[in-house]
Amino acid sequence: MSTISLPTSCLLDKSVVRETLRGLVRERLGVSLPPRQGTSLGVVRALIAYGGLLYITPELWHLLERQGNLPIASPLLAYLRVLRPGRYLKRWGRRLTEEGFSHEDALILSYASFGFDVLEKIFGVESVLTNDLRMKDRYAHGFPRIEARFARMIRQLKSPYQRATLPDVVSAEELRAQMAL
Amino acid sequence: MRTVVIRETGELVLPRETLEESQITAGTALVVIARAGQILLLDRAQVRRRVEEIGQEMQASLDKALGQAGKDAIFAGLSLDAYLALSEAEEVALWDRLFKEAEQELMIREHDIPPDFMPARQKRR
Repeated sequence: MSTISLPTSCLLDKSVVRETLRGLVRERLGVSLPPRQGTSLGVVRALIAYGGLLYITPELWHLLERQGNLPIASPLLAYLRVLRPGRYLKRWGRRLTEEGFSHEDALILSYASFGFDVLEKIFGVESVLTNDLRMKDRYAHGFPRIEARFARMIRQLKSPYQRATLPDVVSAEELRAQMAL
Repeated sequence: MRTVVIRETGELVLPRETLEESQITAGTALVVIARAGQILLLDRAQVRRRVEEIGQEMQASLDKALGQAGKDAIFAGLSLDAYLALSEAEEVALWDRLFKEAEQELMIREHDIPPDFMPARQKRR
C-alpha cells in the first residue's frame, strides 16, 4: 500500500498548459517528448484520472477557446474548468506585485485564493501547478511575509472572504514524483 | 450506507460486500489518498488504465480536431509544421503575447462570492 497526498483542486498555469499541449501534439506525431512536456502531460492526465478538479483562469480559457487555437486546445479544454474572478482578486493581486511577483504571476496566485467555481460552490484552490520554478521559489521564500499580509487583509473582510486560503505552489515534476508515474 | 470503524491500531476491515462491489480483491495494491475528512482507496492498476484511456481520448479528439482544421492553421495562425518548428523561446514569447491580448480583451470584472461557498482547501501549514 502506498500513501500519497494529491490536491483535489488544482489551478494550471500557462506554462503547464503550453507544455501539455505541445506534448500532446508531439505524442500524436510519434515524436519523443522533452522531459517537461512529458511530465506536464502525464501529471495532467493522472490528476484527471484521480478525479481532481483542474482549473484555468478566464484569461487562459479565452486564449484557448479562440477558433484558431481550438484544433490543439480542444482535447484538453474538455477536461478543464474555469475559475470566475471573485471580489478582492485585484486587491490581492496588487499586494502580490508589491511582493515582487510579475503581473501575470500575481494574477494566477490571486485566482488561487479568490477565484470561484459556481458548480462546486467553492472558492480558491488547493494548489497552483506550474513549471515556472522562479515563481515557485519566490513564493516559497516569501511565504512568511505573504501569509502574514494575507492574514491581515482577509481579517478585515466579511464572510466568506475572511475564510480565504493561500494555495500550495507545486511543480509538475514534484507532483510526478509524488504520484510515482 | 455502510460504515466502518478504524481500530486503535489504524487498521480498517472492509465488509465483503464493499470489496465485491469495488471489484478489488485481497492482495491488491491500493493508493491511499488522504484529504481532510476523506480517505480514498484506489486500485493503482485501475488508475493507470484510466490514465491510458484519457490519453487515448485526448489523442482521438486531437485527431478529429486536426482533421477538421487541416494542416494550414492549427494554433495562432501557424501551420502544424510551423508550430512544431518553434523554439522554446519563440513559443514562450508567442504565448506571452496571446495571453496579454486575451487579458486586454477580457478585462477582469469581479463578482461577489456567495456567502455559503467554502474554500477549496484548509491550510495545511
